[in-house]
Amino acid sequence: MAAKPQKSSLPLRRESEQLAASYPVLLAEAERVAAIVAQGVHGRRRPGQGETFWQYRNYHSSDPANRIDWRRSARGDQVYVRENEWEAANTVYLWRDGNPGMNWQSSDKLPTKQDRATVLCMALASLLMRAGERCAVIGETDRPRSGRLGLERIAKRLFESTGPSENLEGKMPAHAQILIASDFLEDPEIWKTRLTRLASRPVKATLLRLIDPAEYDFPYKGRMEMRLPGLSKLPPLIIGRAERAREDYQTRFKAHGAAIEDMARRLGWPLITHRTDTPANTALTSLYVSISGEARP
Amino acid sequence: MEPLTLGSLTFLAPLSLLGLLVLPLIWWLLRITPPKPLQQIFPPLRILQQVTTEEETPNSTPLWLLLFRLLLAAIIAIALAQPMLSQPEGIETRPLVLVIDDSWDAAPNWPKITKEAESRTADARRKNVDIMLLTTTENENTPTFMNASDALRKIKTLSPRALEANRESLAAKLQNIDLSGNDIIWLSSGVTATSSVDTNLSKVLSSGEDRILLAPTASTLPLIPGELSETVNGFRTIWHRASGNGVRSTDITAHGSGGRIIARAPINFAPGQTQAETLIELPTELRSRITALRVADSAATGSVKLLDDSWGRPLIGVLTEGQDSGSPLLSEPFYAETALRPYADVYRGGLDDILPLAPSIIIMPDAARTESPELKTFVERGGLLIRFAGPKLAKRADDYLPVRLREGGRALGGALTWEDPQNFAAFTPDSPFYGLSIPEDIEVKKQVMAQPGAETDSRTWARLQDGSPIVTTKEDGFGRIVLFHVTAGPEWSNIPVSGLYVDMLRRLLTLAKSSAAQTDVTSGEWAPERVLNGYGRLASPGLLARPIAHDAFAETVISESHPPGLYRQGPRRQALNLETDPEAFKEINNFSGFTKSGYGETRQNNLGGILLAIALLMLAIDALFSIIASGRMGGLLRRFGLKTTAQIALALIFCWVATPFASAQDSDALELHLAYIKTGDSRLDARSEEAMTGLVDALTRRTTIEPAGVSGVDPETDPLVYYPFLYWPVDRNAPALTEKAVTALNSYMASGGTIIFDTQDSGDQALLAGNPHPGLKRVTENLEIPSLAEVPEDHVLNKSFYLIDIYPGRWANGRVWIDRNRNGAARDGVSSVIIGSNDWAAAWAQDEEGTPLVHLERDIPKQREMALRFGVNLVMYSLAGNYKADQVHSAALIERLGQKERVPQNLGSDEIKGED
Repeated sequence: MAAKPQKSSLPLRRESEQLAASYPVLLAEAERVAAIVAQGVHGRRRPGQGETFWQYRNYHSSDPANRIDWRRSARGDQVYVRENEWEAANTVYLWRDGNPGMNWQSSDKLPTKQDRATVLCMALASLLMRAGERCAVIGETDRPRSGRLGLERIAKRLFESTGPSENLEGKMPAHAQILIASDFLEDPEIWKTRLTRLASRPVKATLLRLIDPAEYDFPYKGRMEMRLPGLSKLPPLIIGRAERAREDYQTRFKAHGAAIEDMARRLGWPLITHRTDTPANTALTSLYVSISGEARP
Repeated sequence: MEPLTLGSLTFLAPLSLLGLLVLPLIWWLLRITPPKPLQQIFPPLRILQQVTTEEETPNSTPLWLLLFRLLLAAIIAIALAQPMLSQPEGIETRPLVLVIDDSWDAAPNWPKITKEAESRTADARRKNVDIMLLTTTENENTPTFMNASDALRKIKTLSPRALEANRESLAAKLQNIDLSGNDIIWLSSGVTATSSVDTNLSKVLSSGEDRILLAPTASTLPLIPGELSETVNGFRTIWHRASGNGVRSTDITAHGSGGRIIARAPINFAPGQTQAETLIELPTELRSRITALRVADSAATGSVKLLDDSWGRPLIGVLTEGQDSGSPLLSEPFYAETALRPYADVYRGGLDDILPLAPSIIIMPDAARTESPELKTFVERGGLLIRFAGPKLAKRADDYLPVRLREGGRALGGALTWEDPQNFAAFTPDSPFYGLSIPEDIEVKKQVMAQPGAETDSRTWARLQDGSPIVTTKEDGFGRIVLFHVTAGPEWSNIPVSGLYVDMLRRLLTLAKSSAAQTDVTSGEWAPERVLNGYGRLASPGLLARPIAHDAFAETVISESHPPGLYRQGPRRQALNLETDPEAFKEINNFSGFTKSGYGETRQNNLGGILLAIALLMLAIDALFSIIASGRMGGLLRRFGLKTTAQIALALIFCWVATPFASAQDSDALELHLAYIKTGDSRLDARSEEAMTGLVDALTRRTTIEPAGVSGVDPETDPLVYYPFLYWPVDRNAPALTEKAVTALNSYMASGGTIIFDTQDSGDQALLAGNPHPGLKRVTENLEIPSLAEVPEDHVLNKSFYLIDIYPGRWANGRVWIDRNRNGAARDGVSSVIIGSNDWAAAWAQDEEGTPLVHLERDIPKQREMALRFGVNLVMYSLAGNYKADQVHSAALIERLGQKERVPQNLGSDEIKGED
């Protein structure tokens, strides 16, 4: 199937909201920062590193001059410094693979892998944000966001993101969680390099692997000419009798899957495998469990 | 190229069979080329690539498909070779004698005849035989054999001629030619006017080898007109047919000048009957306008009866004294002339002026009395003379009277007489006036008295109440004299000023018609004016048509130089009809030695077409087979599902059936759409579209009217009836409308639509200084615009939803014009036009988010709101019509019904104001 033309993100948004509607709000597991994090919005109700305004206080000679809030200070004789609340909300970073192979479905009745991944990411973001957590699309959004408006922006980013793999190298604070949604069809070695680099930072990742049923079942028969989607350097492959290649292919595909699983296990990250012909909520449940840390291995 | 014959098969283009030689090549090509692979996008191709290490075995075309395709190729090659299935008798080739009836009676079946002739000629060309082409109307051609191609060319030039078939002369021409050894085909018209002559021709032709006579079916043979006679309220016409077989029903149509059908009556021939009559009822005025009678379903010269001066309006001459007196109301002939003018052509003058016109009636008032012998001749030759009495006649009777008169008149009701003025007695059944009602107030004060006697009694058509004759008559020669015993003017009686006078004279007119007077005063030639062609249509005379000498006209034989038609001599017109004797008009008999058959029964023996059709069908099947061969059939079926496939097929069928009826506009009929006229100026049209959208939005939010959308219409092409009104921005450069658009718009307005013209130039009014708007003038030129007035204060438009008193758009000061008559009955009180200049579109226009698009002049406060209110009112007015007007009265009505609990709203100033 050819790549679909650009469409509105609205249907996906609606689908994700419907999907998320049946779940309780999701608080990301904050294991590593448990000591300093309260429940809910993890504001510490004291000045510190944070994003939201906390208080104005009088300028102290030890403060650097550039911290003076001139707008406030101009209203009176005193000189004030603006302090933000120390926030410790957990941040979940999302990455949805956007390679052309993701934007493919074997049948009109099925969603593309990319759509399904987007829906799941949006649903997850929605659940997290309702609990006051922060989300960001890695490498795309400037800073993690929360709240209703934040969700809108995240959804828009998710929808529009081309999801290049370089984004995985984007800046990320320590102890962040990261969701990586992809079909992992590239060489396991490539993925190993990528993920190892990610694992070198103190983050916890969850891998979501999307499989189109046709990729697993290989239902083709007769004379077939197989091509990669998009503009690929790989020449098309002509198979005389596709049905004869099925068993061999399935074995190879399973081996590939096993390699990915093996890699995830070694990194200590959960891998959730999702077929696009199964309901999205099975995958969302797994994601929910994984992110909330209820079922840590 | 010589045709190739194999058994009963003949190939006209045998070289095409060489195409069969490529079959082995196709075999080889198909063997080595596998079916085209199915393309499939497959993301995990890298994984698959590792798999397919086994060699790719080409899946060659299966044998059955191979054979099927070879058969397909072979069939195409054979079809191109044009195989013919020869008939056994057609193998022997003999020259062909083709006799074609191109007389008028072949016209109804002419397409069949030419088709048959062409197919026979084409057949002869195939057999490479010569053709002798003979036509049965008079011509100078000498019968010779010619090339079949030439014959075909000649056949294409033939058409039925307005002549009788002259088969005798053809027989004479063929007398000395030996036709033995030839095939003879006679494409006949199916009828004959002279059977003996036809036998002559068949005798001449009987020396041929194979003789075929083709004749059309009896129901398509032409009809010929017979007698035509007038009745009291119409006329009766008799028609004949050639064959008495079966029933034949058709219509007789009476045409006026220009071919317009004036009357139509069915005519039915019973089985076995060759004659039928029909009665057409028509008032005299219409009857006199008939110029031809035709048969509705068969166009042929002989089936047309042209009518001339002898039919229709009679010519009446009114004799006058040498000099007319200055006061026409007092002159005697004035009353007779006025009474007859609607029914006849009336000429006045002296006898010398009138007689050359050959009138059928001469009216002679007393003052213009003459005893000229020419007048006597006129009557004897069939003229009708109507005389009126008067002082002269009372003083001295002349010889030229129906009855003998007493000397002197009789005065009734005068100062010195005993008797009262008399009325007419009821008319007796033998009088032509029988049945006319006599008004009560007729008074005859003076008359001339007839000598009583048996002769007088028998010659009396009307009497006074005391029995004295008042209208008497006498036949004289072929003509008749009628005497009114009173004056033609109102001196002696008040008959001339009563309706009875007109009726009586009209009854007399019909008497004169049967005796159309032939004049011999003029003797000029009759020149052909319009002549009939073979199909019975009137056309300009051809080059060969010649005038006919006056004396010879009655004996004219129809020929090329004297075609049937209308001939003119000065002011007079005479018809020359192609008259056929009904007795001799017969269906062609089955001549001995001829095989009779009908047209269109020749067998189709060219196999090329059917083979090509089979090949095309196989090509379609082949596409299906190749899917099966590549193993994708199952996939296809699975993908769509059998049910879906069936649904698609059904949908396709329905689409095909429904397409002619479904159009974009038709969906507008189901829901309310606001419409504007597309002017062709894209800026104006876009603005109108935005304005209508804004109005739709306002209506949906404020009222129960929820229009479904907006349509731009072109009055020329789109149906308009679905729209309650049309908004029409008129540019100064707007072009005039086409005739089609004018018709559409006029019928739209007549059927209740409203057109809102907006000249959008109120702001420039000061500059334009009251000059007419050139665009609006052009646009409305041919439209039926009612007389207009400015919108009155109490108009429904002002209160149909909001109470408004101004109609602002971009400007608020422009004047708005509306139908002056507020009760336009057909339109439910809705004006058919509203004309303004405030540029309402500007005020209504808004974009998708409801933001106004145009900055308005601030003529009044809240101008945009007011403009929208006017828009809402306008739509309400055009939709609800006078219902809203009635609503104004509802308060009064409810009060009258005695339900006072509801306090009526004050809905504006109307009559009810006084009752408050």
